Amino acid sequence: MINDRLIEADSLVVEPGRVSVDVRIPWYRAIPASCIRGVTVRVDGQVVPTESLRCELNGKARRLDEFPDLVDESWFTTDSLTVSGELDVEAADQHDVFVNLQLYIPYIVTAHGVLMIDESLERQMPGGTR
Amino acid sequence: MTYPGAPIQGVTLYSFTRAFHGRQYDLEGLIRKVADDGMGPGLEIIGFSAFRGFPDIDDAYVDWFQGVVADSGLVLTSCAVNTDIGIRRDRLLTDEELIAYMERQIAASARLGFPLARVQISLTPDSMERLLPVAERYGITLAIEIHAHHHPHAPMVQALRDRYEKLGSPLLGFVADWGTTTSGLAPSMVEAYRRRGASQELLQAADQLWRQYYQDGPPPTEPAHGERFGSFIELAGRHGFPELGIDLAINATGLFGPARVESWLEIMPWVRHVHGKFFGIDQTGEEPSVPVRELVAQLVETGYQGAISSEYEGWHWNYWDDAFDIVAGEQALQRAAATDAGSQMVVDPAVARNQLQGHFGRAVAAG
Repeated sequence: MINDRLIEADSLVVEPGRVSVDVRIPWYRAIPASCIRGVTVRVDGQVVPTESLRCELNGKARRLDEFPDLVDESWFTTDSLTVSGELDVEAADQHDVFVNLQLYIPYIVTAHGVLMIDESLERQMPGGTR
Repeated sequence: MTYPGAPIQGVTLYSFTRAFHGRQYDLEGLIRKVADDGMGPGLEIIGFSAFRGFPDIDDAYVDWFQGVVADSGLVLTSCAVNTDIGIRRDRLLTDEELIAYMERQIAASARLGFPLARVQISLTPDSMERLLPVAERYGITLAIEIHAHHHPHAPMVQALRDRYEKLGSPLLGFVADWGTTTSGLAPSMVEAYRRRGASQELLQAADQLWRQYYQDGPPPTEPAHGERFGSFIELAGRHGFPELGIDLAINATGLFGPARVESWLEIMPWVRHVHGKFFGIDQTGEEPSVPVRELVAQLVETGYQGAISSEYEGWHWNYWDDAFDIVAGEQALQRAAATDAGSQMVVDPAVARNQLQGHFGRAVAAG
């Protein structure tokens, strides 16, 4: 739907042993946080290990496996999901950032169950520091 | 019923999804933009899109929102709410849970000042009957949207209409979405697929397949819809573009419905609100894939006094044109069509407000 904006422009932050990037919701409306199924981030071809991933939403950082229970919390239309994790990235003017997001759309139920969109995007951007 | 009809001009903020999602306008800015550019007076908003925390909103937020709307001079027409049956990961919501989930949204819509809540077709006749006391308690109309791939002759729609007839309440009805009754695939969508690398052969074949379905009429059953959906996926694969298949199938069957304009007459007495769905305006000022002139003329001829929310949906694929200009173009077309049909669109807020009271206050009966 709005997958061309999946990665917030210039949102990559590179710190020693750690990276972070802002992910935008690729849908026109807020979606319950319980519908966030998975996020994958790669920087310069390296995958951020899933066990170190933290997703910050509404001011709180959580592991991915904490989301399925969050039926009363929302990812709002104009908010970013800040995804961070442990990764060593070599210094460079530009980095290749890849994000994949799997998100359930709770009002669309097909013969295969609740619709899950699976969106990916790759963008180049400099790596800022906090 | 008053003849001829004089539909109220309006817009849904959904038309400007890219501007809001892209943080170019916040809710207040977007409402002011709609008012300043004369795209009202009708204003429709999707609850979960625009209201942070919806449906949990406090009195201060309600006051703020109503102040913004009052300042703008716009008239609230519809709050779109969603049937989120799949919020849990272990199972779908039960009927009880879904009714409670809908009640919170309906209550919030009423508190914000909307006269109508748009609900989705996954609600059954039984659910609508159970929600009627909720509508009565909050004094708000509940209207199920008829949107492609559904259509006025679909069994689900007929079952709802029969239940409405039995219940005889003015608070139950339909939202008619013009995407149900289109006349072709949108040129801007075809152009977007071309930019994504689709071959001319695939685009021509997709157009032919859609035209075949148009000749056949809308899918009579859900399995028939499923077959059509699958046929577009198969077509894209056969032409060497499997990655475009699902997207093409969703758009060709879910945005471009092949029902005829006349089919709306089947449910017209229960149409409480209209989504003037469209996808683009060409250089001659016409909508090449939605018969806007016929649809407006039909509303005039049937005495419709409610609002039309211009609902621009070309933004899914058209990221190169300005949505505000496109909506202005479609509203000019609506006004011209209403004049040609011997009436006019209502653009004055005071007239619109007065007319909507009558529209929502009158009893609904079979025409």
